This record gives sequence, structure tokens and C-alpha cells, in this order.
Amino acid sequence: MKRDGTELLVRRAREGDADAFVELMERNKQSMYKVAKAYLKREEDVADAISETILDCFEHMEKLKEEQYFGTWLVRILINNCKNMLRRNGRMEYTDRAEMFEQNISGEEEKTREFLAYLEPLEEEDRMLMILFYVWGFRVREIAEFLKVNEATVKSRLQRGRRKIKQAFFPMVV
Amino acid sequence: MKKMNQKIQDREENILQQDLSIPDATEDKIQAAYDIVRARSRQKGESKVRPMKKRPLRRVWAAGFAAALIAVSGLGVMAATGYFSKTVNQEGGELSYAFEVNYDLKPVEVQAVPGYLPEGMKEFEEGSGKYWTEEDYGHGITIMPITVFNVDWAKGLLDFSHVDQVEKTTIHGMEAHVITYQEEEKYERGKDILLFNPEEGYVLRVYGDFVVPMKEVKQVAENLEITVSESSLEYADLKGMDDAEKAAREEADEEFWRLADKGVTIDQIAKVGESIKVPDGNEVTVNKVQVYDSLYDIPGYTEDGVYDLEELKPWLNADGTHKPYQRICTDGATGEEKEEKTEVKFLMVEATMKQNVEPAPDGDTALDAWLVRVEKRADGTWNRIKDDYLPVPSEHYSLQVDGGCFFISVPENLEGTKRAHSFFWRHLEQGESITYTLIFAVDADLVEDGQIKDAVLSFNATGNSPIEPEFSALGELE
Repeated sequence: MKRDGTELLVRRAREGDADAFVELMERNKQSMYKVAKAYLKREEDVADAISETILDCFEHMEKLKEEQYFGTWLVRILINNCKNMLRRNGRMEYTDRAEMFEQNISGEEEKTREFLAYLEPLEEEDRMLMILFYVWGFRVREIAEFLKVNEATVKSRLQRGRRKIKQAFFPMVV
Repeated sequence: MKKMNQKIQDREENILQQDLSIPDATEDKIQAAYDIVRARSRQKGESKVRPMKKRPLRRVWAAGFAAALIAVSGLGVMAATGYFSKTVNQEGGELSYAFEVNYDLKPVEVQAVPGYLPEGMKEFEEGSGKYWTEEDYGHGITIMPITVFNVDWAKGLLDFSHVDQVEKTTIHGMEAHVITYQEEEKYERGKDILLFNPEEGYVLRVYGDFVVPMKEVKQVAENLEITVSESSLEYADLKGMDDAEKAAREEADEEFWRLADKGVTIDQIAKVGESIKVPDGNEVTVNKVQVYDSLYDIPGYTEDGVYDLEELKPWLNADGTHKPYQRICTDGATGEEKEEKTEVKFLMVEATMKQNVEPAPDGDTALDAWLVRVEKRADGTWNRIKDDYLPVPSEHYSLQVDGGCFFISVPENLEGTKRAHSFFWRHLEQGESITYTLIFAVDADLVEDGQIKDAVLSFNATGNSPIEPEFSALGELE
């Protein structure tokens, strides 16, 4: 964990300091948004998944026994919430990713469009893996724990993801 | 081709790492969640967020009621008509509030702004409810409206510890509780004023930092300008997880912590001179460990390698020894706290990092480590201790925060944000090795006969897996 006061904030938040907790969430808001955006089609589901995650985290802060694992813990809860959201709404629609992409991309701000377009060629698990690696900065081993796969699989999926993106964006290079 | 691949990688990272614009509706829900969190909080701090957007006003109250102080003889159960009734429990230093909500009434939203502020105080960000002076950033007054919407969530959670006295008073015609805390100065505890309005459906909390006199906090509370508006939220928005989901999540949590609690065997802890393979494929080795009384005796020590010199200087004697400080030890099993003054030594660790793989995407490798107190359990495994050690707040001692080191002999990121975030990180080319020194301040009870006992190092570069921790020994662990 980089030296940016996160552990101190986590400790304060665990002791019930709401403002420290909010500061932590604000620091991770962009990253949370990207995870939720990669999972969920509807913006309102994205909003629900993030707000539920905020409340879940605060409610269970005492269960976070080691401050340095805050990021790991937060992402686990967020991913669970995204999956629950899909399950709850009966919308496991990743098979129809073209539709998802079309619906997601219309009306989005330019950077978001670019972000979604970039992830579009990838399968769900590869999308998540790229975000965990590049956005959250998790290491291969941590990602392996999240996704319940071994490290070699994570590495090969990272390579696969990057290859697919290259094929989509830079077909002459691959 | 190599240049092209680099360009592609840069583009990938840029696209994924650039900030996205979060739509207003999503941002509003996030802010609403923060409002709920604040309502459930029993501690204080500083925030940097905006409250929910308000809808058209239903009623505006002018302020200016005088407060009549009445000593609280026994708070007990207080019934109220309207939006909610509350139960107040006070036992020893513990004070808690529980609320029963009347769901037949539509929740309201409340805005409360100060009609009076102590000299020099201003709101640090519009709508934040946080007020302080420029000279004392972060220490001031916070005004938190809690509507019946989040009171429901706060049920049983609006509680306070280390309470000294609760006075019952009337402010704005509302029942008010003025809360003071034990040993406020030593522990830098603030003060709270709660205003209850069950008829309109809200509670206001006015928190004063320990540097703000109670007289000023009361004046702020007495001069609040309160706006009540219709809420865009419904109780239905608060629906929680169903039981199956809750059970599944709890089960997952329990499994996670079961794995995290299983500990490691002595064979899994790298001895001095043995390398740990970092997940990326790099290797880190602790070469040498030594405890010193004086910082100035440590070979290679210079102020250039200190992360925050202002943090270090006040704790050094002229001869380079560390001044003692007052700490609180919390027993992990019983929660009992005790205070004691502790001497402090310096721990020098010489380590080598070998960059076996291509540099990570962010280009830097973490070289620092965290000192972890461990204990041997009955089954022979080792794990982090459950006890907690923290300095008494008024000591303002932060040299040992989270067991981190305060010195590295080879700092590379020396300026601005990079210094703040990545002082202990360094760019290494593939195949490069670097040997460097870290220095830690350690409580004297970790040192026996000049050796560190019952503590190990956890290197940042290993990723700090909770399930499979990678520890480096600092000496014998039997």
C-alpha cells in the first residue's frame, strides 16, 4: 500500500469516524465507478451498487481486521454487490454484450464512451481483471484471490485481454 | 515495434486510468449514502462531500431561541409523537440513542446553516457543513442534519463513548442534549449538541472540535437557520438485502477471515538472509538487522532519507536517542485499555530487492516494509497479534503509524505528490538489484537483549496477501 494515509483513514473509519470513511470512499470513488460500470448496464444499477457498497462497508468496518487490506476488502464487496444486482434483476445479460455496449455508450460523456469502447472487446472476467490490474493497481496474486483462479491464469488472461484490445484498436500491430 | 507496443500500453493505461465523469444522479445516490453513513456515525472528523440536492422548501425557520439549561437526572425512555420516538440509554461513559420511526409519514430533508460562527471560521467547501479557520484547518464545527430517513438507519447506532456529562436543554424550542466527554484535552475529544425534532422528523448534531470552546458551540446551535423541505427519497429506497444474500455474504466474510486467521508456520517465515519471491517474480531479502539506541549511530543515516523530517525532529534528543511517548495498549481479547509510557529504539534493516521481471506498469517497485507484531499460537502457527498499540492522541506521535519505516537510504521520488505517495518506491530495470537501508522506530518492549522479538517484516512489494502473508523474520522466532 502506498504511503498516502489510507491506513490511518481506515483506522479512523473503523473506529466510527464517518468523515474519514467518506474520505476513503471519495478516494476510491472513481475506481469503484469503473468496476461497476464494467459490470452493469444501467446507470441506476451502477449508482445502486456503489451506494450499497458504501453502506455495507461502513456497517462492516469492524470486520476489517487489517487496515492494509482495505482496498481488497472494498473491491470484494463491490464485486459481490454488482453480481447480486445482476442476479436480483435477473439480467445476466453479458451474453448479449453488443446490446450492452450500444446501450451503455449512447448518451455517455466522451471519456466514459472511450472507457467502455476500450473494454468492449473483452469477456466479463477479462474486463474485470484489466480494471483490477490497471485501475486499482492490484497485484497478480491479489487478483487471483479475488477471482478464485491461480496466478498463471491471471497472467495469461491479462495477456489475452491486452491482445484482444490490440486486435480491436491496433490490428496491424498484433 | 517496441515503440508502438509502448504507445499502445500507454494508451491502455490512459484510457483506464483517466477520471470518468460521474452523472449527477449517480453522484446524488453516493452523497445520499454518505448522509446515511454520517447519521450512523458516532465519531467525528472532517468531510469533503456535498449533501443531497434539496427540493423546494416547505418551511423555513428563523433562529434565535434562548437555551434554558436543565441538568439531566435520568434520561431513560422518552416517548414522542410525530415522525419518531427515541430511547436514550446511558450507562457509565456509554450513551446511545435508538429510534422508532413512524413510516406513515413522508420523510423530510433538512438543511441547517449557522447564523453565527466563531471569528474567522468559514465553511471549507460549500454545502459541506464543516467550518473552521484557515489557521486551524480541520479543527472547527460540524453541523450534521439527520432526517428521519437516515435516523431509521441510525437506529441503535447513534451512540457515544467516553461520555462525561449529558445536559438536557431547549434550543429552538427543541429538546437538546449537550454532551461533554471525559478527559477531553488529553484525548482531544470534542463536544456534541443534539437537537431532536420528532414533530418535523429530524435530528441535528452540532459537533465542536476539542479546540472550540463549548460556549461557541452552543452559540452556533442556538443560531442555526433551519430549512425543512420535502424529500425526494422514499422508505423503499432503504430496502436491504434479503436474508439469503445476507447469509451468503456473512459466510463469505467468515471464510475470508478464517483463511486470514490461519496464520503461517515457522517454515513459511523467511529467515534473515533468505529471499522472498515477490508475486511479480522479483525477490527481496533481509540481509541484516540491528537495533540502535541513537539514530545518529546508524551507518548511512542522513536527513535526506527521512520521509517527514518535521515528524521526526520533535521526538529526537540531542544525542539522537528517541524520547519516550505515552501509548494506549488495547487487549485484543477483552478490549481493556491501559496506558503506559514507553521507550523507543531504532531498528535498522538492510535489504536487497532484485528486479527479475520487466518493471510493473506504473514503473516503480515498492522497497519499504511494515513491522508486524506476531504471536505464536497454541497450534504452533504464527499470526498477527490481536492487541493494538496506539499513541495517546495528544502526544501527536506518528512516527510508527501502522508499523511503517520513516527512512530509506535510496529515495528517488523527492518532490510533491510523488514524495507523498511514493517516497519508498523506486524504478528498477529488469535484472537490477539494489541494497538499501530502512529505519523504523520501535517500542522498547519489542527488543530483548538487543534483538527484535515477536515481530516480523511484511514487505510492501509482496502485496500483503491476508490469506498467505509473507513475513521476513528479524531474528529468532522460537
